[in-house]
Amino acid sequence: MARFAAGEDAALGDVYDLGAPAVFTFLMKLCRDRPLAEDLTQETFLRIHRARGLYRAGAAVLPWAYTIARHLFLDSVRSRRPEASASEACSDNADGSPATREWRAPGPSAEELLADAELAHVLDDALAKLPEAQASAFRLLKGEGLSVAEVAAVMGTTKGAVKLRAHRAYQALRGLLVGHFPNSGIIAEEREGT
Amino acid sequence: MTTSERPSADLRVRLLEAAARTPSTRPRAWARRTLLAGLGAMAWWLVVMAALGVRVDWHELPTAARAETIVVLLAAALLAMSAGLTRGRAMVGATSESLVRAAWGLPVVLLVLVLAVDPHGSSSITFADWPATVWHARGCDLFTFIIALPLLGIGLLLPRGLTLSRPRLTGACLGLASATWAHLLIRVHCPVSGTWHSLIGHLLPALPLMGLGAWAMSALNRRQNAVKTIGPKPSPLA
Repeated sequence: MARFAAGEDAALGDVYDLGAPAVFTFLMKLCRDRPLAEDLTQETFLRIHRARGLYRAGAAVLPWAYTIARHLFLDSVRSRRPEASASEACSDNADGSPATREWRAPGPSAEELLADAELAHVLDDALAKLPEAQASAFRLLKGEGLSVAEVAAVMGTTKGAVKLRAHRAYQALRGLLVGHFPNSGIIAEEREGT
Repeated sequence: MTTSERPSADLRVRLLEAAARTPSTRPRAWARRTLLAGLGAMAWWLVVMAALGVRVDWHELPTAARAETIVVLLAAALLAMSAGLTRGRAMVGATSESLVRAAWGLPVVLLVLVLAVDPHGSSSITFADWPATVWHARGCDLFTFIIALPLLGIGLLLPRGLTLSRPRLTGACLGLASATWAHLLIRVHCPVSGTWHSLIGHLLPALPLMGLGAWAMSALNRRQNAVKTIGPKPSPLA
């Protein structure tokens, strides 16, 4: 990013290669619409391109990109369907068909792949039922691996509020997932932990 | 939650093509902006300072109270300004905690300053009745606005191009900073004494200026961040 900010145009490709998968994944999980997520990813990196002269050396690029992406997503929801909630606004493809969910599971075996894909699918559905702020806090913390301070910066709130939102999302998810995985070890462990 | 997806391969090509057509800020744009804005704001402030001058009985006022007033006003203006103008560690402005502290805490500090420390001298002008106090405070209100508005305008333009996470609070901090710089000039110039005059004429304009800053920064941020290249796809039948 420092090279790009210093005027090296070709470095945009490197910035994109490093950040685009994470930003695209985040947007896909938010809107569940591949064409829209690609458009928003492109616009996110164009915003970074426009503002590159304002970049402060050493500043974290990924939280910056997530912030832009989240603002773009919320703006696109408002401009498309102002009466719809953020979580339901982009649940279908442009042709009206249900959005496809292509999860790439890291498990080596077919059974693990299937189980991971099923869990991811259920988790994705469960997160879509939560308020956008809670779902985003949870995704950024647990899914994207950002620190609490970084998530607070992305979401424009305090660290305490991020923890609270993530905790509420966590509780809601636990309630929603118990029905799907009644005998799951993860759920059982969490029950014991609480 | 470790699953990830990749955008299509042609998105990279599309982005690079779009970037080649899109103008961007030049390297070190922030440093240049800050320097120009700082020089402009300082020039305006010094011109007004020279035009207004210092009240005639300034040297008669208690030294400690004078010094405390100037130091607290300067510190408050600098803190509010730094909260409003920092890019932050993630390029999205100051943290929410810093902004809340500046936007809510500093007005309380200034209120305490006006109530407890603001210097009054034996030769200060005072108004005994309430209507006269309010009536004569309007001049200070007007001057505070005239001094602060250009400073606020400069502050609002500085972060343009950035996506701020809390634009309203950032704008409120900039409004408070501009009002406090103006307050400092008015405090040195105005010979009228009395806590009510200081409250209404010197401190109160900070509230509408904070509101104006919050509204303007929010509107600028919204306008700048409006999705321009993405929108409802045109119908092929249209």
